[in-house]
Amino acid sequence: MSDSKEKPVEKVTPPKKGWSNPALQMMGIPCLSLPSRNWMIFWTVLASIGGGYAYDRYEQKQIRKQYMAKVEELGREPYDSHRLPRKLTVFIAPPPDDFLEVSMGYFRRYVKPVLNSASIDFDILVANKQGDIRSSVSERIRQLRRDAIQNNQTPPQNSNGTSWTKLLTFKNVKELYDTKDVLGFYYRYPTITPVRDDVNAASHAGGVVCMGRGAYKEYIQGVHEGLLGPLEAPQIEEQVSVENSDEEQDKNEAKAPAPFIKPEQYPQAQLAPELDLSSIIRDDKGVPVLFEQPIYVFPVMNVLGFKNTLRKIYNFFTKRHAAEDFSERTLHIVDNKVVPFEYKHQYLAKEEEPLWPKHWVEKGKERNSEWVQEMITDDRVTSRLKVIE
Amino acid sequence: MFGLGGAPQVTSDQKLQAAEAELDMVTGMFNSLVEQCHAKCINKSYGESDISKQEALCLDRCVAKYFETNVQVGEHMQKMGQSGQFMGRQ
Repeated sequence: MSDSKEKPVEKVTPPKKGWSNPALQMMGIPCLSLPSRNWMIFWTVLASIGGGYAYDRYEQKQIRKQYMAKVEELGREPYDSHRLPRKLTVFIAPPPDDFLEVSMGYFRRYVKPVLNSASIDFDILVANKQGDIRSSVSERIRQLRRDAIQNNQTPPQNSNGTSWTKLLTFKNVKELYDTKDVLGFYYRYPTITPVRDDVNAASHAGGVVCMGRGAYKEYIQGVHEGLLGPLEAPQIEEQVSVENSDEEQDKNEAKAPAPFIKPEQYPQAQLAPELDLSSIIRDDKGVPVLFEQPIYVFPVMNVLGFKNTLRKIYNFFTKRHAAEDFSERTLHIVDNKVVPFEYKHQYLAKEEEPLWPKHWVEKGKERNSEWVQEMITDDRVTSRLKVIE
Repeated sequence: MFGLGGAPQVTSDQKLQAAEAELDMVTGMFNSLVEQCHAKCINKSYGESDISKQEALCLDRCVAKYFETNVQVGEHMQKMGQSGQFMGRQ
């Protein structure tokens, strides 16, 4: 009996060590034991990476929720239909040698939810290449100056009314009718002209938000260029751009237009003679124009490079710190405590500059990029600027 | 007197039809705009008679976005219509 019993046991591999129970065995559940060494390593690594990531995501969500709840009360205020909330202009530029998605991501994940919760409106302006923000800001200011000249000369002309025959051909919708021409209740009620809250709070109206030091530099330069520069592009600049175009055309990317004025020429230039700078300049809706609005800058601490791998890994698992930082800074925008521009404000978000890749800075210096140069300001312009503290 | 000065290209019937079609389109657009922006923005618990700041901002953006999309789609359709990609149209 004992011999016949022992033989089959020898053929089968010895039972796994571990804990079991006859009841469990009867149900077909095998012996419970730890997996092998290699599996243990695998599962531990997987669980710690996944757990670290999941925990970080969870914390980010909590932080976002917490900050959104803080400002939520501001959105509960009863609101007339002829009012519009404060509106920010957000400039987003890609960090050096990286994609726009990085700084855009910071804005979208940590800044936007808080702004939405505080019911602050915003316009996003994205820079696809260096100089975009500068040229668009300066162009806006130049347009303002051109309009000022025109308003002094000729009254605006009214276009002719539309005729019925135009309906049968394809026309742009705006040529056919205005929105309010077709909405029935406008016949009964007087037209509502909504007024932004910014109109009545001129000293801290709106706001300009720059994501990153580069965007800030470009914005400041753009304001200088718009206010101090000439209205038409100078001829000399074109030759320079032709020289550069040999390298640039290979990449098939059009460069942003060159600045109309160089920082060295600021002291000699005249400060926007077309505009009446004695009071706050407003656009046609009464909102103070861009450079009359306070500025806020978010530093985008983007770590790059192979040697920084450890730092990058650390940052990846502690994105909650960034979330906390950005959301906290957004509260400053919501609070909107405005101070006049001082010398120290030239160095806003300067802390991100040491993180810029060295080869990128070298290349920028060769190409005379405005990002890598020191910010040069003019007192006549900066005395008009304001900063959110 | 009437109708003598320069033969009109379109009859008044056609004009009316066109105007009706316009009106239908615009009314339809307006209704769907109201419906969608109401569904998106207005708090369904109706705690207050006035809209709140949050709702005002949401409505403002919703309407702006709706019109912008409408114009863009319209322009695209127009382009398609002109290039003859529509079956049996133009």
